[in-house]
Amino acid sequence: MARVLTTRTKIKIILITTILTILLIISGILIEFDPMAFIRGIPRGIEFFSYFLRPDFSYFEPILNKLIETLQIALIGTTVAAVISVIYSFFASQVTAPNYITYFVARIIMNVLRTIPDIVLAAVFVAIFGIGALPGVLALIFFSFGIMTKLMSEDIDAVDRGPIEAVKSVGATRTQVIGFAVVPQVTPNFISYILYTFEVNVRVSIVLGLVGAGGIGQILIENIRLFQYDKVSMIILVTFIAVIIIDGFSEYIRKRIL
Amino acid sequence: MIEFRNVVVVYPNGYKALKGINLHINEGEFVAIIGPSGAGKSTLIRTINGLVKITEGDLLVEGKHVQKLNDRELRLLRRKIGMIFQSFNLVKRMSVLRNVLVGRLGYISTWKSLLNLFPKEDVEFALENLEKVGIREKAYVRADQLSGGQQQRVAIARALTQQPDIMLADEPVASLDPPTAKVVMDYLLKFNSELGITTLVNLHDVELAKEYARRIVGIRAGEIVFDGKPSELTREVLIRIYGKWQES
Repeated sequence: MARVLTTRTKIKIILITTILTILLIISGILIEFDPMAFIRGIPRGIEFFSYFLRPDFSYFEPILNKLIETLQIALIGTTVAAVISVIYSFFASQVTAPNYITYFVARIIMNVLRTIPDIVLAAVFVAIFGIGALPGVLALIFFSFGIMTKLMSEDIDAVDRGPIEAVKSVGATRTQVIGFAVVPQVTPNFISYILYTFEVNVRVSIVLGLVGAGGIGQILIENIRLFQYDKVSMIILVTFIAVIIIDGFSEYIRKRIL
Repeated sequence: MIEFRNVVVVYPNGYKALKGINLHINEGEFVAIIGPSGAGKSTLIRTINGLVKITEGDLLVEGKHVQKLNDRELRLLRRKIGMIFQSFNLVKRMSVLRNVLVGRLGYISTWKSLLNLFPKEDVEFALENLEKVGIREKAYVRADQLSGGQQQRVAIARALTQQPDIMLADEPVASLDPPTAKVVMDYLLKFNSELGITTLVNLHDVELAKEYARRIVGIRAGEIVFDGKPSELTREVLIRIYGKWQES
């Protein structure tokens, strides 16, 4: 058999594997990971699961109302964030930023916001504005702003520079160059990103409800706390179907555009 | 009139693209610029409309010192200078007509152009120019649906729509097959003689340069090594421009 790996590579592989194994064991000990706990939990899991086989179908109406609230939160959050992000991303791309300082500051703000997890944003806004849809919407705006500006500004970075040079050469202003050479190139992707963010936001807004930011997540956590598993089961079922429909619809539109 | 006086261009990475260019081009001339790739042909042509800033020297275009112009003045100069490119540089997802109307951007206000409020005369003028390059029927087709030769004709129509005094062409036929290349070169020559547009064409194809230009400028490593009539372009001169020369 031919020698595929050099001795140096072999040593590297052994070393890295050993270090990773040690780290894994230490982490397991520190978080008191007990594989037996998993096995002991199986009977309870089966019991738990059996409740889910009997969803409470009469609970449909309150779920529908909260589901609509969740969708509204996602829709408002995505729309507001989309408007801000579309404009902002032109300042966060080297191709279109008016100068280096604007670009630099725009990138920093964008990257800092992106490091804050969505659920933390929601918890903070719930603390400020109280339980309800408003903190959910605000958290989604910040969260989706992070996703969309990142995707959009990178898209602008990647545009074909040829048309930019051509439009510039006819004596166009900066704004005209953006409007005629950049916008047509990025529009299909921008629409796709907005739809994708909406899909993500539907799911995220469900999770945000868990910390009191309105919508279906809120009744989900309430029913879990009250051990109303038949209702929990119904909530999950309805959410599941709704998410499938929305994702399918959004994907259909995205495919049509590209 | 275009006049280079000891023009030097040094790129930010330190590369010296032009090393003291002196060149005088009269109104209405048709000049081909030849030279090996990397010689500075593209840089030379781009200094004329300020797409590349000169580092030293003086560059006079239509009586204006290009290096001294502010943003607004530079835009006013650019709108009288048409430019076409090797890769056509149309906005692919826009219609042919809208691409041609880009040529009017220097003449209308930013907000009007963004709202697509081009004056009726502009639209008619754009269509007329498409007619001149023989593809008026493609006006409402998306630009990326056209063949390479057709796209370059759209690019010429875009430049004509600027009502230019000068036309710059950077390797306009390098991505086209020979018959299509001739069509495009014929149009450039036609508008040069009929409309009196001063035309500068970068070409790597020497035969094409000899066939169309009445004056050829040869550059090598950022310096002009030949400036004369096509008939003066001897084998020795070609060796001076290209280093070595093989008869094809």
